[in-house]
Amino acid sequence: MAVTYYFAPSWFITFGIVFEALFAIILITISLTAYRFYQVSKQYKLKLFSLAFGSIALYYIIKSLINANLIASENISRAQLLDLGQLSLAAHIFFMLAGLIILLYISLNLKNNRLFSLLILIIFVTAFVSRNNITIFYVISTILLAYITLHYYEIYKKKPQHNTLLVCIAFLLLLLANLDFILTSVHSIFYVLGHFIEFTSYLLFLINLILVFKK
Amino acid sequence: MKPKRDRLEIFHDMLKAISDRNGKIKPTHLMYKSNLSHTMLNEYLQELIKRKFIDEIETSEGKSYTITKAGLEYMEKYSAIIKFVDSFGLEEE
Repeated sequence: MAVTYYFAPSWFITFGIVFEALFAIILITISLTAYRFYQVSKQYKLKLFSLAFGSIALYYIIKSLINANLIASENISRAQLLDLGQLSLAAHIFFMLAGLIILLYISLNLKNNRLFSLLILIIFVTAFVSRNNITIFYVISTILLAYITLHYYEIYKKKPQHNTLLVCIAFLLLLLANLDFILTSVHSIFYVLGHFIEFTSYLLFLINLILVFKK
Repeated sequence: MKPKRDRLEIFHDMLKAISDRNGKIKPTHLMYKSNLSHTMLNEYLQELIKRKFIDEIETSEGKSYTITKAGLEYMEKYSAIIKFVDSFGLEEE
């Protein structure tokens, strides 16, 4: 059971694809906005933020496309299914972790490139070499999200406004969703629950973006 | 006490000062209008030139600064940019 696809209850797979496509659309919108603002302001962190959200969007796009392909393929063999699942898993790990590492880099205000490269190496080697990739991936992403959420909580404490609160809660929900996904190997209902928590989180990100443009 | 201005706000204040003077200003006026020390003013001027928000013009009367199209666009989008940067904690030191 090392393939994410099998964690989902069969009745939820199509819904899952719709959810993931929706997350990708929200993430791309935020990423493009950040990039547009970077072009105008030349604020370097905006470029990194755009890259981080773009990377996480890619993860959802690839995951939903592969899952859609799996549903569409009626005569596919189990071996092919596992291969496709592994491809999805690799994309899952690579793009999500890359996005989270960039967010962590922004959050911790890291100036030491060697330390940053070491952090990347440790995370990627641990994730890819491990046998039970998916569980370790969720554990690592939960740890990264815990640090990122803490950073956004500190921002909220420093600037207690509704938009900083929205972003802080959104990251907290992503953290909870990741904690929930660790349990998907125990029962598939956690896969469904995780998607609903993620949906609430991305909805908050979207509300924040709408508020940004509100006069 | 008024909170310390961040870089994006200082850029905006400087560009607004230039814009309010029909898009062209002398450094002494800019220093007064944007409430910066001489050292800080020079530092921020270099940064604004690097970001292509202003141009430096050398005349017989001395230096002056003009706002560019990119500078005007920054001013126009400033409110949204600052809200985005604030909510996602993307301020730069």
